[in-house]
Amino acid sequence: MLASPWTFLALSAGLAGGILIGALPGLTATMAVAVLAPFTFFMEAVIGIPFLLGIYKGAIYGGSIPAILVNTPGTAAAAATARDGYALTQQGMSRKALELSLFSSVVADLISTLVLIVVAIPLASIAIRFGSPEFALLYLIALTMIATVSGDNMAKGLAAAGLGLLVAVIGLDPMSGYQRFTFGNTDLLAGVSLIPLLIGMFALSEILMQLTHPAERQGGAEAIVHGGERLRWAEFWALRPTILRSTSLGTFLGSLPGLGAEIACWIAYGLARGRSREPERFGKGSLEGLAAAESGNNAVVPAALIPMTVFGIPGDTITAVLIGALMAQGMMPGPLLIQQNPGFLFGLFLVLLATNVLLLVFGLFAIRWLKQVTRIPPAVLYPCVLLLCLCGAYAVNSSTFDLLILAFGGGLGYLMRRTGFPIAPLIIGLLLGPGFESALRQSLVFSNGSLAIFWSRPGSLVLLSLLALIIAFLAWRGLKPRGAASRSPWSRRNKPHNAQGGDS
Amino acid sequence: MTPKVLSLTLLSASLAAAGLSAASTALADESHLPDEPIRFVTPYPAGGSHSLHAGIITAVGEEFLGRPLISVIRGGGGGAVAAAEVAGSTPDGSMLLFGDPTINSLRPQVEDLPYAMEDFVPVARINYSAAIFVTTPDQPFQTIGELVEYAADNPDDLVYSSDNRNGWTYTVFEMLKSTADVEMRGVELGGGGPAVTQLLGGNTMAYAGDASVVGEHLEAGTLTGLCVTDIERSDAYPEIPTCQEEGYDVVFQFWRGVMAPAGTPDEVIAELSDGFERMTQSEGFLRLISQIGSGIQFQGHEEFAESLAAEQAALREAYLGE
Amino acid sequence: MTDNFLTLSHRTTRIFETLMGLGTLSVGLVFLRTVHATPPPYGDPGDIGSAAFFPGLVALLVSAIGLVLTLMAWRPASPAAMASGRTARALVAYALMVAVALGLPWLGIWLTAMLAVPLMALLFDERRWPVLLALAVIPPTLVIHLFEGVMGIYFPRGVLL
Repeated sequence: MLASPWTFLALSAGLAGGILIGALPGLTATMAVAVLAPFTFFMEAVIGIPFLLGIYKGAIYGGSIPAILVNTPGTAAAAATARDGYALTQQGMSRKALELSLFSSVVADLISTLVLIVVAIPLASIAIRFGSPEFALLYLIALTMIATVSGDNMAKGLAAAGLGLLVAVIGLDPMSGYQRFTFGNTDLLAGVSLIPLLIGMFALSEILMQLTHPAERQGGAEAIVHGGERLRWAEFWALRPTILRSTSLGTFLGSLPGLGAEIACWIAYGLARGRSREPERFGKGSLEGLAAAESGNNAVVPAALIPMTVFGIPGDTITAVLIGALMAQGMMPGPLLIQQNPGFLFGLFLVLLATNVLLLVFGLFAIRWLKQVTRIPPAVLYPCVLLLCLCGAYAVNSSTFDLLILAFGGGLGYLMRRTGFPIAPLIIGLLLGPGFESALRQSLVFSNGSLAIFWSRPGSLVLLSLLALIIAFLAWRGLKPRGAASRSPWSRRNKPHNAQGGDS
Repeated sequence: MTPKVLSLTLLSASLAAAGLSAASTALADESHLPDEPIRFVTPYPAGGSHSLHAGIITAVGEEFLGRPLISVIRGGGGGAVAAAEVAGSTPDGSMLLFGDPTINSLRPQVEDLPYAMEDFVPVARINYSAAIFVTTPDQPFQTIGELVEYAADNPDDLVYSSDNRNGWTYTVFEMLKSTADVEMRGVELGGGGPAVTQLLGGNTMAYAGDASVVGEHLEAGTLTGLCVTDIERSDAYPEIPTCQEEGYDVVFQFWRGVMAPAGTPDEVIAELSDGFERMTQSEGFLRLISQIGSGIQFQGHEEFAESLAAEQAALREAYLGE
Repeated sequence: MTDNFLTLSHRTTRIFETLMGLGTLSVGLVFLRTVHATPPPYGDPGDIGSAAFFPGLVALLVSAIGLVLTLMAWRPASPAAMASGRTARALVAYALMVAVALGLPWLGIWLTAMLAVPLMALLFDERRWPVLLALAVIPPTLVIHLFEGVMGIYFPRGVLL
């Protein structure tokens, strides 16, 4: 399958197109694959499928580019990336941030792909035992990460998270059919569209912040002209525990059908901060934070193919589209594909590995140009960002109402940033609230209303204990005076360094 | 594998339909359609079978309708948002809804939605699929009769995977519960993917869904087919009986069809219906449709109006009748 | 990065903190009131399995935090001062964003884009008219063709054109 040059060409074209699409706010990987999938029906499988896989991977990676450069996550999964990535750009280290994001993505993707190839079947048979109770607890664990991104003022963080959760419950409730908090508005039936709100809160509020506090770049322009220094190997090597941890987490979460990259990036981020020697740098340009978020969300991608290849079950919306495209080529993924067409499956794995290598090449090439984005004067850059946001927000649903959501998000984001409310908790609430609520209520239908389901199953018992541990740890850490926090039991491996003063 | 294939793909999709019936050049002259592109609205998010079908229809439709088709994917509220938008658009054939039974027959009758069933007139039915009731081989019941017996012996003990409230799976299980007079608990999981996952993982005991979702598991033996909600057995799974054969009157054909807002002139409806009919007869369209594992059961606007009215009446009886 | 910004007076900061607290409180109360309206619209808020439980719980939490925030604004230790800046200009830009969002369905994508981009550049102190003209033409052409051509997204053309 790899033998054909056309396969490579299709893969490269898909990858390049995917990076572009992913980098445009509002155009998501799911949309790109869904829109272009019908065209692959006209192609042969060895061209069509690599093309789609290229788009898929490219778009996932592409989402981190605008997050780092202009604080606008191209996809929801890149929201955690924007925190430290954009902080690095503001410090004139956009090149380092872009390179780190690329390397962490590729490494995470590579490891996760190898996991897919080697242990897909045993991992999938564990993952499929996970039901709603376990999902509810996983969501709850992710929601506790609100505490790690709330900044100095926990009350403001909780308020932001609460507002996010309230926005998330607006719309038609799929379980009961009630129209909740729609206030008689037809457009709110579908709920508040996530992507337009996200673009508004990040990108529009960023434009407004730039107007409020014009960056004094002009003076110190020399330092950033070339996007700052490159990532040093030693810096990257020092991050390997973080990357490995986030990758294993992302791979595990990705193999659970239905849990996406949105949840993985925040848990990975929170976990990295918990184990970090310098947690106070998180959100202010921490390399660890950026690496954790990027490797966490990219590890999900190949892992989401695990339920697809083993059971024919889509791991997320995008693999659902991929299954459609594979079916159109007469390859129904699932238990039969492994038996009937192992050659194709093997080829698929090889293509996935090849995509990684190509992604590295394309990414390095793209960074040469992308780091120049910081050279564009604000008077040109931000009006163009506004235009992209406008088009992107409309594109999600072809809805003019979404433009109002975009504007609302912009105003809310600006207000919060000016008054010291953190945005990240709101995003976490918004992304994870609905999943938590439906998993919780589904569990109660399973158990006929008994809460015992959360500790009577082996999987949920483990997760419940884990949750208790995390809460205890967060509480213990919160009670300790600032500065001593880095000497936590979780980072005992780093004790020797800490003894000499962890905050250096 | 050849350059020809690649270049073909890079061209517009309408190329695939080239060389087919160069039908009705006269059409453009005496058309009643407004002189603008037709917006073809898919009421579900990108990625489902609806958007796959819509992608093909809009790719090849221009040749048969005389107007370019623009695919508008407008998910939300289980289809209600798009339906409300089309219902409120100018009724001249410039905006069409890719409807289905839940949007056009069931939910407007049982839910308080911002549009009514009468806001739409049928244009053409493209095709339908029937749901297959399935279970896993390790459950204590392996036929639909045993399932009903089990549910009767253990009221409220049988947990099944459902999709959304008043969704497809939800509806066929409600029909089964009402005809067999048993109690079971459905868990609304939001879609076919998670529903099958929970069934395979042993968290639920039964499900009913489209062949595209459960078909492969039936072949692999990881799921057992109980019965089909159609009037005759399916060609692909002739060994699975219909529910009627087994003594349970559960018939639900999940059709996909084109709907126009009420008030659209009759001649426009007729012209669109003819156009879609010619499209469903064209070789290129059929080839593409078969590639996504689907087929054509076309009904023109008159025939479709009859079957739709019958379906709406049947659902009204099943849900609100007693 | 906030170190060298001018800050608002403690009094103004306190007013803002109070307003944000009250705002949070009122959002919480609106949702709480909806959940507990008679008859209960989404089921019983006390029943964990119902559609009303989770929104009710969160609304309660938000209301409580709103109250805490309002009170915290008035504790004796003065709150950390907020940074001041060119707020008026940002508000003008926000008005432009809202106008663009509202006006796009009527003005159409082309007119909106060709007005919004140069106007935003004006707010960023770009005064050279060739640059503004270029901004009015090049980015809209590129972006709109990219979205419409590649992704098949069809923007509203508006009623004027």
